[in-house]
Amino acid sequence: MARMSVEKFFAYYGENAALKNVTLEVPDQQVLALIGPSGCGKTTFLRSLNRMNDFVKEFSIEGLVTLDGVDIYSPDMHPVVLRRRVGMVFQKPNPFHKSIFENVAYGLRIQGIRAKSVLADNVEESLRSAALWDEVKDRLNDSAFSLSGGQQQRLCIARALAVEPEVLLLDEPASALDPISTSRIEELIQDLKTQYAIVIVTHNMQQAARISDQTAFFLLGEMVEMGETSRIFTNPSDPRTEDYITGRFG
Amino acid sequence: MFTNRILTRRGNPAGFGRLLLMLVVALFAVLGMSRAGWSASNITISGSSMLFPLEQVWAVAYMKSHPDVHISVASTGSGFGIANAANGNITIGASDAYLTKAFRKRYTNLVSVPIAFDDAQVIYNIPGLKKSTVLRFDGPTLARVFLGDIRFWNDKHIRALNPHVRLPHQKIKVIHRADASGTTFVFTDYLNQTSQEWFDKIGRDLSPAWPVGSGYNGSDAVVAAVMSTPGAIGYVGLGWVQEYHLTTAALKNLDGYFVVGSVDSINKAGFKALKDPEFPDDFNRSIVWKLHGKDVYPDSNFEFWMVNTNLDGDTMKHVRDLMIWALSTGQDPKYTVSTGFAPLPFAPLKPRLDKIVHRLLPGNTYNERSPG
Amino acid sequence: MEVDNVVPLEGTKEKARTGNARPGRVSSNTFLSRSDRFFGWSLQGGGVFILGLFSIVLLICLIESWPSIAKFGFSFLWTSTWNPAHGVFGALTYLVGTFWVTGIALFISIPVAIFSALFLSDYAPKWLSGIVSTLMEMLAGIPSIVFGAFGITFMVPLLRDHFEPFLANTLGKKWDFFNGDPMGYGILAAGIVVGFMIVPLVATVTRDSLLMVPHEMVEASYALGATKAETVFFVKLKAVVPGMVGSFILGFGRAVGETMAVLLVIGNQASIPQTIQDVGYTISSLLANTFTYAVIDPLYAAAEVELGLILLLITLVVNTLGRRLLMRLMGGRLAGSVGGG
Repeated sequence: MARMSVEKFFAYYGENAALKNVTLEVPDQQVLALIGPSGCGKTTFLRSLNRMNDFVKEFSIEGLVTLDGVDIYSPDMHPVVLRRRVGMVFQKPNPFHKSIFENVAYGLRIQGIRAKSVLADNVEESLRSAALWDEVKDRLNDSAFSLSGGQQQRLCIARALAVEPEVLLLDEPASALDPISTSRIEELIQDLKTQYAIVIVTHNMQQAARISDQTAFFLLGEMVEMGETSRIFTNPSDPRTEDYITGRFG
Repeated sequence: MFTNRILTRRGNPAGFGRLLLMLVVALFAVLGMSRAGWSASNITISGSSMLFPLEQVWAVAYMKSHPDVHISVASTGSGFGIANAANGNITIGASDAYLTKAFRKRYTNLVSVPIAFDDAQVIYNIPGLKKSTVLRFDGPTLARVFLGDIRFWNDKHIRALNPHVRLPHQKIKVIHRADASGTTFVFTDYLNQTSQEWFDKIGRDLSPAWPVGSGYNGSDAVVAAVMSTPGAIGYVGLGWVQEYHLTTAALKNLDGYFVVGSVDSINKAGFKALKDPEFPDDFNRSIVWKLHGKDVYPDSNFEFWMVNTNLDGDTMKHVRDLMIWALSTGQDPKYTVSTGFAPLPFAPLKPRLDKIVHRLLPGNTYNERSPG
Repeated sequence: MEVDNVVPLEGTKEKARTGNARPGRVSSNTFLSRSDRFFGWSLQGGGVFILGLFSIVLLICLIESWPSIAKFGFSFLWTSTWNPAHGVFGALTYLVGTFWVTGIALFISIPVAIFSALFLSDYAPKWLSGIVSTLMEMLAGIPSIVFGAFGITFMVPLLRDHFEPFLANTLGKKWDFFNGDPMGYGILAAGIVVGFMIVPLVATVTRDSLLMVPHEMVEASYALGATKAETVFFVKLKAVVPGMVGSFILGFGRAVGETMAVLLVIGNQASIPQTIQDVGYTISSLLANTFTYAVIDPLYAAAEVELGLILLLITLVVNTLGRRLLMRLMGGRLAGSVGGG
């Protein structure tokens, strides 16, 4: 069962096609890993799923992207509403200049939620889901910048979870972190997939193999193949995929 | 538009402009010195911003007829002029005020030379009043206005002096100078001599502690403020009255006559003062409110050059020649009236001038002018 | 660093003496160390110069104002009689006037500056932002006397005929402080003119800080479903607080010392304002108006220099407090903040 589906999707920066004819489905309650060498278009693709590319000048698309059957690029879907339903966590931890509490509460506040108890409950729940609660519960009013890099990234995940999205996009969320923080994030992703559809971009093939259910391989703007992670890593059908995962290029 | 016009007159009396001017003058002084060497023919005049325009036209004319003399003029304020003439930094200090007793004690080496005549006249802006209507004021009433005790134009004291004028119930806005000014000295001198209350509370000064009103830097700003503020009252010197054809109040003089300030009525005052044997030869006394006569304006006084008696002989001779030229040829209306002063009457001044020259150059009289 | 530089140098010298060193290398090393040291010294010289200049200014102010300090002591600060003719000097009137002008200027300029900075950094199209930024930088360079002339010819009549009567008829009905006599000249005119003068300063620094906010932070906000306005106000503005506070301190320093523009419109009257329409006097405009005259009397001159000294100390204290406040705001965690100043 697919949460989001993409059909014959093209993306352009000016005249240059960054994505060519991509068709795939984002399964619910699973982790979909996007892999491929740098510049293959996987991040562009990820950011097309919640229209973060709208802010890029001269960016344009062709094709169809739907969330629960609704075209997300149509007037029926306001980007602000879309982004509340399709959350995103970035490569580098990017907390706001606010307290730990206010970082998590931000998404709720901008939705107009003012009730203290509601905010407090939501913040606690999100921090628990992001496995950060025990570390920060006594210092919620401290600046988010007082946290370590790994904690900051989990805070960013908690912040994304607080608005209760349906799909969670992760753009190399562990690439800037040390191994211990990385493994905590990976565990977290495993926990979260029971409730969300997760799409993760990663450079790290082992990571993709460890945590994802489905894997899509991108190369030069095309999606070469997609399938069960175990099959892609053991028995890819396209020779280019095999070359990549065996380390012959990239 | 109005302010633009008046900003161009008399240079720029504001602080920054003055500073710039000082720098420029200092530069020229240095250039002049390097040209003439450190010769005695170099005369620096600095001080009163009010005298500055007159000194400028004098300097140009005098240097034309005396090519061996170089005069540099700066507008730095009377206080600066007095202090720096006393300590020898400049040749002549220009001052709007005579030396009061305290300053005579501090600066014993200064001789005051009367050099021109100025006055303070009262201007006003009363809505509904015809421009040509001349109000009458006596000292005590004017003092009450400037003390803030009289607050409306239709106050009974003002009405009593002006029974034929319909005065509105309009708040009086007192306008005064913010910078130290000779006009202020002359004006507060009048209040000081005529009002015991003013004497007790404020006194006369170039920059007194004004109890009410608002202050403006330079006479141009005072004129602009009075003209643009309904209900305003202020004071400026003769030059400004002529420049803008301002209507000014008639002030009560010692004999009870109400006299409007003019070149004529001020000249009469100067004449009377110089003729008066009681009036001291060092000029260190006010003539405000001291003079009898039907047409004598009661609020006028001398402008001074302060000369240090310790100048070297050569410089002193040049100063004497310049001084005598300024008091004779230099009193021509094309110099004095055109820059806002009344000419000094030379005939009654002559005998007094002799004594001044004696003090500066013992054994000399003004007749023994050095050749050239 | 000192140790790093010195020790190898000593070593090479030792080697040179024993004749084991390669001469070329030794000399080039020595040269580098020397030029490095010379550079360090010249930088140190710059620092010493600033320190010396500041100390000299402070010292001279102290010496020159000593007669007044000795005579009036601290009462100079809270008495309001300023009568040169009687030799009595108290600074309160001028302190209050300076306080009002600075306060009004900051009250007006801070919101205007923040809004224009936001407009320039986030809302204006690039071409317009370029033009407005250039204009703003030019505005910051306009001599203050021009602002003063603008104040006389434009602000004073506007205040006298419209805004001040309006204030008196609205807020003045409730608070006496706004129910003054419309005059045009006064603390309000001075505050507004100075406010206009410091808008470019505060806005430029704030805009530069806003432009340096990491793009990732902005994206994070959008990704949470924030609108542009929400992102700009709740995320970007919050991130540039240190830079803004720094610019406020700069603006304060400019406002508290501004002379010419204030002098032309404040009404230069040494009385403590009772209403916002009243005239007043600031320390700097008093000095500009009367200092050349004050030199005639040592005590008078000393009192005016003491006013200047107070102005200097106010600026110093505000700068220091501003820094402290910044530290506390950020709790020493300035990492990732923008334009901390």
